[in-house]
Amino acid sequence: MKNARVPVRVFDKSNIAQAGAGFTSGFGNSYIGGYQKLWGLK
Amino acid sequence: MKKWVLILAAALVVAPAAIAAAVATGSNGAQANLDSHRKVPHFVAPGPAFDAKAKAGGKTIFVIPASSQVPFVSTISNNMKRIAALAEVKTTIWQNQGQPSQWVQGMNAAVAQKAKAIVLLAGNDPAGLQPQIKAAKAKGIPTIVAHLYDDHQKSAANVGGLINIPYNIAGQLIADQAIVDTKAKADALVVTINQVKSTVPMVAGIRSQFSKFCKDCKLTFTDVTIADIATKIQPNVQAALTADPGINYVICLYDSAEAPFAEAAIRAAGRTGKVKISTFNGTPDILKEVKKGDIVTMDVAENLEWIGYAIVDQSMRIMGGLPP
Repeated sequence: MKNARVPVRVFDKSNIAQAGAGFTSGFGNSYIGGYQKLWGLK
Repeated sequence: MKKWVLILAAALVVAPAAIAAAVATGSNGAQANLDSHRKVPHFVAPGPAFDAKAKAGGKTIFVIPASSQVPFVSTISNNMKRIAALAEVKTTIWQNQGQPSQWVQGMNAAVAQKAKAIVLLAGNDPAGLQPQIKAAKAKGIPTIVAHLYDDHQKSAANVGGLINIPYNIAGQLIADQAIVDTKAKADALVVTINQVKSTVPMVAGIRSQFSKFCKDCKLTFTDVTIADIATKIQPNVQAALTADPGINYVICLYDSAEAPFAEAAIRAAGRTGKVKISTFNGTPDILKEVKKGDIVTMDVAENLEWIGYAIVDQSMRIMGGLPP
């Protein structure tokens, strides 16, 4: 059985600003476009 | 700590350059691991492209969260519902309060409602639901387990698909932070919840990094149950800080469950500025503490939307008869 897996990202003082004002960002958009293209939606 | 100082002092007399190089190499190994996980992650396709609407459109994913009352879990299930709708896949979320009897009811409801896949989400152990999983399997309904195992953990029997979390890597990284930030002089207290399945690979990751990059550092543990999180972590950490004035890091495995209590203990003990915290999960309230920076220096974050996409992808592949 193949395991799907998701990544993690280290946030410290050097890059915490990239987590955004709500602290929910910082992972880019590659996965959104990537999955939707994979599913034939884009 | 005293032992480490004595060893280092003795060694410096005979071979200062060699020791300095060894320490630097150790710190550098941990630093390299941190650096490689500090950038924005890239998407890697989990499998071949497929026509999601044709393969899974109109079908139903039945999601049984470990508990609908945990915001982390309910956020993922709500993300799944929104994402699955993009491919015209229906989602039913079985609301519950974390009682195993409610998970059993959910499994039975999923079969009765002729769902095409069941997702156990973020903590409900399939080992305790074998009769229901077998019954669903007999009806052609696979049970997919999401956000429970690390890749190196063996899943329970009869599971039809997995979405794993790199717990071991997360454990490595929170250890690396303590090693690097103390310049390989860590005296770290690890707060564990051994009741949670993911604690095993996380602790293995912590031990591996200390073993490789901080051989003479000190590592101690304090464990609490889920039920005791709110009442035992602060007194346990405070007692440890009193017993060992050399502690300079508290490694919290699960950020929102542990870090606020450990932080309160550090402040109450008057050790702000001397004892830091590294942790895992990326809960926004704890990331705010990273920005503040006086105690929580680092958080290994997951992305709950990315997790939602990964679970929906795996579910649609399996419902569509594609390899998981």
